[in-house]
Amino acid sequence: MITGESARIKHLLRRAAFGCRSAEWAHWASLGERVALDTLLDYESVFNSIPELATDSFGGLVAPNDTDSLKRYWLFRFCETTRPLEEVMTLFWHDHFATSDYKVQNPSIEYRQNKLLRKNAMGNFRQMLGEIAVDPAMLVWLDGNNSTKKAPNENFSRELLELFTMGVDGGYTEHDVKEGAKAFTGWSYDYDKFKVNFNAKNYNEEAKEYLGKKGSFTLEQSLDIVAAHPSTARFISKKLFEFFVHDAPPPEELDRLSAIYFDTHYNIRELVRGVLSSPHFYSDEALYSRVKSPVQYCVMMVKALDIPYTWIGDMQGYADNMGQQLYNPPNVKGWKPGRNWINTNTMTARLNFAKHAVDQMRYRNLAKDRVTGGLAMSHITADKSFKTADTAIDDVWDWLMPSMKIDPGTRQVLKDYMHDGAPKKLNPDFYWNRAAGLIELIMTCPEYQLA
Amino acid sequence: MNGPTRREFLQNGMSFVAMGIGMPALFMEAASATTTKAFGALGRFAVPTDKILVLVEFNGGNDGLNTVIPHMDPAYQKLRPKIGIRKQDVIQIDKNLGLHPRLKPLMEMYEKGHLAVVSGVGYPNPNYSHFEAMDIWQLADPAHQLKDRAGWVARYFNEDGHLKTNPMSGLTLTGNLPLAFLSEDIAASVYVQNQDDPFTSNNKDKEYQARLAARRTIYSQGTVANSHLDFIRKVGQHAYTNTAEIRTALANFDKSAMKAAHYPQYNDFANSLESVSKLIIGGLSTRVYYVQVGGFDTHANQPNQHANLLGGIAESIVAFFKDLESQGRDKDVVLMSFSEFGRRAEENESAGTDHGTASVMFVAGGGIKGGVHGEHPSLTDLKDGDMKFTTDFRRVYADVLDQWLGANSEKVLGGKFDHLGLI
Repeated sequence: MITGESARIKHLLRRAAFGCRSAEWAHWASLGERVALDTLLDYESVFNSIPELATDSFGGLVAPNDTDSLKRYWLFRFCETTRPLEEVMTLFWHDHFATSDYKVQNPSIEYRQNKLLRKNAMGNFRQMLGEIAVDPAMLVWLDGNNSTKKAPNENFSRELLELFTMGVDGGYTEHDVKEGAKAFTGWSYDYDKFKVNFNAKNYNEEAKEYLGKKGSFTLEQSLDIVAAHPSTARFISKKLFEFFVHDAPPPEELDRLSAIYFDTHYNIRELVRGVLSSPHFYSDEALYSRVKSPVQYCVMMVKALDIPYTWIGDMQGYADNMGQQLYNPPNVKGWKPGRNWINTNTMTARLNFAKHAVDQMRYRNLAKDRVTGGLAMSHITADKSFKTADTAIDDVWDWLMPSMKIDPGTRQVLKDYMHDGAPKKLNPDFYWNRAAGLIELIMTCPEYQLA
Repeated sequence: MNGPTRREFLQNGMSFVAMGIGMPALFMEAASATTTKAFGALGRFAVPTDKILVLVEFNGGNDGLNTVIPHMDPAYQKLRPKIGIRKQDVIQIDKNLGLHPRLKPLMEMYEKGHLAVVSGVGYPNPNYSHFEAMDIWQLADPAHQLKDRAGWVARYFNEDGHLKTNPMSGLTLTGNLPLAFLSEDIAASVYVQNQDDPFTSNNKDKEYQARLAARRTIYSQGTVANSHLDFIRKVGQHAYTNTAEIRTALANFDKSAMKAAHYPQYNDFANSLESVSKLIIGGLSTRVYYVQVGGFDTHANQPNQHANLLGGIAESIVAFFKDLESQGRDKDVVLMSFSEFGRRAEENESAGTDHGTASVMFVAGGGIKGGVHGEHPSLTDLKDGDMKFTTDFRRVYADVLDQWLGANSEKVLGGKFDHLGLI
């Protein structure tokens, strides 16, 4: 069990906010655990600092016909928002209803889907299903576009059950996939008029047999059946639990969360509240058990260093090398989490990003003030015998990874690095330089890959 | 083959030595192993004698029925009135079967006996989910009997002490490790391209070198076995040692031979095979390479998309083996393609095909027994509109494991599978 209010709030912020800026910490700490959680969850009451149209890191207006600018805009939101859980949940749903630019190839409708996901991120799951089923990008992505009575397409029908609602072991059959496809016919997207159309002539109004029920189900009626299925409650609960807590949700916890899903009539916010206020969330099994996703890794670093997003430049390029391109998940199942994020190529990118981020501060000569301000420097310079590198290491380590033990071997390496080649006469520049290096080294430790 | 000059060797050798100063023992070992492996005694380039397998994943579910076509079967045109390949366009390979017209470049290899076509490949109780079906092929475990979720190639590595401990035994040119390579031992890596090396640098700055040395030491120190941290640390170590090995290999391939091979341009698959060739010629210790081609999930408007895919693949494979042949390595390499499933026998109304079952595999190389292997499934005896598989894919794996890689397929696959006589 994670004990101590400040340790608990920091754990909450790592998981549900991708960290916090040092300037924000005093605010979160002053709220206390309970109010901090509610503030994160009920984010509509928090002033929204993000403009709908923002300038991107290259100073241009976000252009909805340019996928790269959409990526930059979203990463900017992640780094600068006052409502962090809104972005984290939007990413959760982007991964869940994974729709990819490599097939859709239309940034305008991809951005439209992103807004849909953000709007519904904490809303009603059934409502979101209805909107996503006829979302232009989804219609193109899973071939619902122009799926007709004469030519029903199974693609959306299959992934709806397998990946979006019931899960592959949720108890549906190939027959359900084929019958569902009929109910989803008749929709198309008109690129010229930016409009989704329903053409009754192309819709299959016949009687269907769907998930054990019989009737001439429409799209909306079919989604009612899917949303009300116990497998859906369990699948969504499990996915949220695994995203926020750890990989082994106990069955009775999934029972509890499924009950919230039904009791609140598919309210996502209450489900997330259930996950984040559960004792499992603060258990020892949960603490630092998640491998940070690339976006989480980049955003947490920028926030920890408290530098503006615009300094980073090509964050999306680094995230891409780490295996996560926003708006371009590898397939409809989304990104593979956990250790799948880690391989020789992605580790190289992760370590390089830490150097890149700290370098931005070095170049601006701000490493002195911002990286080391009040932290490492005060301890090192205060003691001219430099025996207090330990304190500096502890401070930086604890700031970047609170509640994480430091390996004695690692501590010794960092200490040697801090002192190696130090001039006999006290030279603050030497230590300023080393303090920035210390921060980079700690951010490239295996431990910092975890949240 | 052009080995490095004596001067290059000395420089490389020197850089390893220089890197070794103040380096933890583990990295010293890795770096010196890399040096001797690649260069042998007296700066001579040592050619590895081991056989190499290149796995090619056709992602999305390849329509085997339009890849290798039973053109004499009247049922074929009935099932495929819109998207079927016309009889006169098919390239006949035997009295019943023919290749898709865009696979024509492969005929050169086929006629030499360097291309095997295995038709009707599948497994019992087919799965129609892309992801579940792909896992089945990667684990070679259709009945979910495995205790540990380790991929079939990883299990092969783990049977061999040397392969098990070499992080370069498997190398993928995709962004992530495929499940086939995945186990706790991670004897496989992802090819790192165009990125700075976070562990070594030519930069002479003292502070910078001290920082890199500190990072190398941090990554060489152990943590709790089987934890995330241990895994991350191992991968970090591999990133360091592999970069050195890959850099050495890339400095050693023959550029002129590669040009003569004429790889198709602007084709990702061709680029990947070209890189694999460079690494093989450069003397990398990798036993199994992994390459992926996407775009096979042809639910709608299949004909052009599928034809372009197959055309690019055929040209790339031919160029790859020409390249290897000109450098005397074509008989050391076998390429094997697979896909998570085939597609339904009957076309759908969107001029496409939905998820199906049995499909086709290609096995290519100078050291194999070409021709048609396995039996094409009947087009009139379908189950729920799907062809019934005739050849279990694990038989193909068994052939490759036993006859090519010199492994024990029974151990790796957890059962005995009859060979098809591919090799």
